[in-house]
Amino acid sequence: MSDNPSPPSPSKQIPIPEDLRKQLAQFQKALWRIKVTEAILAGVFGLIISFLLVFLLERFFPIPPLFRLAILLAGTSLAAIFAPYWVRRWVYGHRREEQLARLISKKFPKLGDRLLGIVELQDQHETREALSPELREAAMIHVANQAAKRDMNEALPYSRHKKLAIAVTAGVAAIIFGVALSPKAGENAWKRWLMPLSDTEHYTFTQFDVNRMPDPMVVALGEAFTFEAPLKSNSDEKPATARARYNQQEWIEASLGEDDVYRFDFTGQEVRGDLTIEAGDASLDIGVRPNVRPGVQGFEALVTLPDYLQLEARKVDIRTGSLTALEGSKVVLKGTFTREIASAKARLQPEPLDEFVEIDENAPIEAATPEDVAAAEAKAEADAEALAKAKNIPEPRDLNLQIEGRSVSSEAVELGKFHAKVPFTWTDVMGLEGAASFNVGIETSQDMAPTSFIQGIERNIVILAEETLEFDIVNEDDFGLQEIGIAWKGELTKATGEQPADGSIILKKGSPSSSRLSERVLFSPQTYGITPQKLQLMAYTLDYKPGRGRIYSEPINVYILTREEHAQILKSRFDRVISELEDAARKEMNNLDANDRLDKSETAEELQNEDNQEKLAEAEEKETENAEKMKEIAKKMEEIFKDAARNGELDNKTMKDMADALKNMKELGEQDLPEVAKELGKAQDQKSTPEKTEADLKKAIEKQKEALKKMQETIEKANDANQNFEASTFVNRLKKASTDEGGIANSLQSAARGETENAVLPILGATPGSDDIDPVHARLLQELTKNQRVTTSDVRWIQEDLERFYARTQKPIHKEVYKAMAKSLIDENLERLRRLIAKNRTFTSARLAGEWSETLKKWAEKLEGPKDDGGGGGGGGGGGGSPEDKDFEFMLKVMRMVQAEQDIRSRTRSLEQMLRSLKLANQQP
Amino acid sequence: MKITLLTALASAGLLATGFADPVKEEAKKPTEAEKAQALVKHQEGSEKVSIDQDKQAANAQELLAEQTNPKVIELLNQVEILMAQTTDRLEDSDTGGDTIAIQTEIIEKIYEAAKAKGN
Repeated sequence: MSDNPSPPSPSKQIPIPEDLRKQLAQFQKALWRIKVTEAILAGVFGLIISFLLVFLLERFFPIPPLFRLAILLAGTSLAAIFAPYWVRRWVYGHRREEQLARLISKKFPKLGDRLLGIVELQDQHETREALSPELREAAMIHVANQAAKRDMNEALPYSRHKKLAIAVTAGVAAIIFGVALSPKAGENAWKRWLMPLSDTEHYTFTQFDVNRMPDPMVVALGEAFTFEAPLKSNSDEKPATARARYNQQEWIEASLGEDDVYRFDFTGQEVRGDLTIEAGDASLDIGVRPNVRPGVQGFEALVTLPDYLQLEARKVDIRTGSLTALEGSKVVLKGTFTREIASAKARLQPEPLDEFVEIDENAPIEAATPEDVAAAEAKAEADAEALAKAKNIPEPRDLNLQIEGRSVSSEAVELGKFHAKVPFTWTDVMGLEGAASFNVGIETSQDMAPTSFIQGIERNIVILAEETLEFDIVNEDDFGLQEIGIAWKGELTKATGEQPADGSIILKKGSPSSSRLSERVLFSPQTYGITPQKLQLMAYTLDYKPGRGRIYSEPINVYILTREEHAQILKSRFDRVISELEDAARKEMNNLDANDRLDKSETAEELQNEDNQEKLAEAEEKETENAEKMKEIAKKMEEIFKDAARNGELDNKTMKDMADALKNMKELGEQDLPEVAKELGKAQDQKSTPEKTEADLKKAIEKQKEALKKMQETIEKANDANQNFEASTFVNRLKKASTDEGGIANSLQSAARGETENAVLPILGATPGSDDIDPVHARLLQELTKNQRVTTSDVRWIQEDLERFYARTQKPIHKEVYKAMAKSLIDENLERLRRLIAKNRTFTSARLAGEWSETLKKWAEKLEGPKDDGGGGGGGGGGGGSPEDKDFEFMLKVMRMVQAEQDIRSRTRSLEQMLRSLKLANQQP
Repeated sequence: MKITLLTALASAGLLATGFADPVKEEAKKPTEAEKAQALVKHQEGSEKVSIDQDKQAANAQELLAEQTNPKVIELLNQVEILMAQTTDRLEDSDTGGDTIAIQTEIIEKIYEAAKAKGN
């Protein structure tokens, strides 16, 4: 041993014995394996549990997406949060030997401390002199030996990995079982679990076909409805029944139909609600919205009329469902509804016009034997088809419709020779149908011919050529009038060389929209050079329909007379007035007699008896009636007087007598007779005393006598005037007969000279009824023979009338003419002349007719006497030069002047109308 | 008497309705010749009316000669002048509104003359 201190030896590190190290490493490895396994299993277990949760719960109800997300997050959190934590705790936290020693010390405290001790010794750095390495090594060996005797696995912490493995295995088994049992449910649960927020549909064993179910469903307000719940064709389960209810109302059950649809009938609902339907594991909530059905707000038709009418298209309100439109029009039907429309349907159903005979489809089939029925049916069908073709009715068809919001428009339908019905049906955007269809009935009309009327004039009218007719023409059409006017066609009553009148004038131009045109017409025959003849005067109009032409009114007959003819007409009118006047006078006399009788037979007191009062009332009534009649007669007389003044053929004395008679008639009607009635009325006054009544009656009788006397005077005056009238008409009649004979003579002379229009063969020597006479001449001879017969008859009447007139008036001039006529045997000679004309003795007939014309003219002149000879006919009495007569003459002249000026003015107007018509005619295309 | 005559003068024409059924016929368009003929007719008609108007003037003159009342004479003088104017216009085929207006004035003046005579 040496005493010298030796230098300190370097420190020596003594490692843990190799066996112990291995043992600790094994412990660590086991620890890590177990804890990592635990972490993995726990994560897997969490996922399995969360999937199973979704899988199982969704078999009962659909889990909301957020809840599914929560389940998924909870499931994954074990793997995502717990596993890393676990690994960190057990793997990272036990990576060193002292950490392992501490873990072991929890199970084996003593060993653990020792192990911790040697782990610390291992890292001790001391000198040899301070610490014995051998001792440390020995201590380590000692601890290693002790540790070797121990099973370190026993020091491992409590392990759940086996349980977790079992749980995971069980979970996997459960999943496999469930998926095996219902792969669709498993697949659906997998999708919905893995992607909770996706719109993957919830799987149920029973599956409603939601695509075929409205949600929300709109139903008609307050109306019962049926809800149809169809199942999907691939539904795994199809329960025989299902149930449904509206809000909290009673459940309704429905059986599955053959078409896999449950039909639930609900009563009418008025409030919004939900419909819950349950079938098997499927449950569905459908929102229900009760709403009013969409109705028609308005319906109109846009009618485009045929081109020829040149009219704008028209909008017609057809809310009533009926439309009348012209054939050839194009019609667009447009409906406006209370709600936006989703779909609509309209069908054109043409129907035959009324003119076609309807076929009764239910009519019995006629067949001889039962075997013939089929053949008869086929025949009947063929007949119906043939008739339909003949009717040319188009086949029914659906119309193309255009929907824009709340309005529906049809295509344009062209109307032909058929009526039509167009039923409309519609469904709104909510799926509600209209309460009922809207039927539009289209009646096809024809463009009617316009109408033309003449108003304000009698149907038969007699005028002088220079007079002017004033009347209105009224023309109407259903669309438009092109023009209106008047037309005339004459017919000569006597053979003359003239042509009958024939013409027309346009009075007004119309337009396509002029449905009514009227015009005041001033028609003066003289303006148009129309001579005396019978004229048919018509209004006409023209509409726009091609090929229709003018439409004429019913004609009025205008007899344009010569002054002589006019005077004769006046004479006959005058005769009738006198006759009526005499009748009125007779009645007045009867009334007077009755009143006189009453006055004489009854006392003053008796006059106030009821019976007598009734008689007085009756007498008053009769008096009033007679006064009215007298007014009527006066009115007629006034017309005659006016026409007589216009005629101008009557002398002043006749006119004065007529005027006096007219004055009296007016006074009688307006004053005298009403006064008698008034007095008779007073006699019926209940307040009067008997004496007063008697006095009133007497006064009435006095007045009545005066009136009667005046009436008789009036009759006398009228008769005087009439005699003068008649006398002057002899002149006119003779003049007329002379003119007629002259006309016959002229016609024959013209024919003899070969001047007859359109005649080819000469008249001379031609035999009537043979082939050698020209048809024009044959017709002329016939007419002349007829005229001669009429003239002969007229002359015979003149002769007879003259004889009677002379017998009444004893005027020598009339006797003279009558005698001359009788002596000349004019009636026999004129008859002979007629026969000669009929036999075509042209020259002889012409000569004789001319001679008789002259003779008749001379007689007329003889009767007429010298003109303007100072009123010689007036005789004594000194009437001709009195101031009253002078006044009358002045007034008569003024009256004639006014009438003549009025005629001139009317003719000027008529000429102006003619000029305007010409201007209108020039405007015509 | 005068009143009777004047009221007879003033009485209106015939007034009766005559509704009619239509009669159809093809439309006739006037030819140029027909139009020319109608124009000639108008001229001739106007000439005829002017002659009648002139006759009226002669009648007025005749009536005037018989009168002593200055008012009537004045009125009839005016009538005569107006009638002469109308005759001239009608000779020129003027059948327009102005001519008709003068004719109306003539009628009114004749009435006035009749009234003046009565007073």
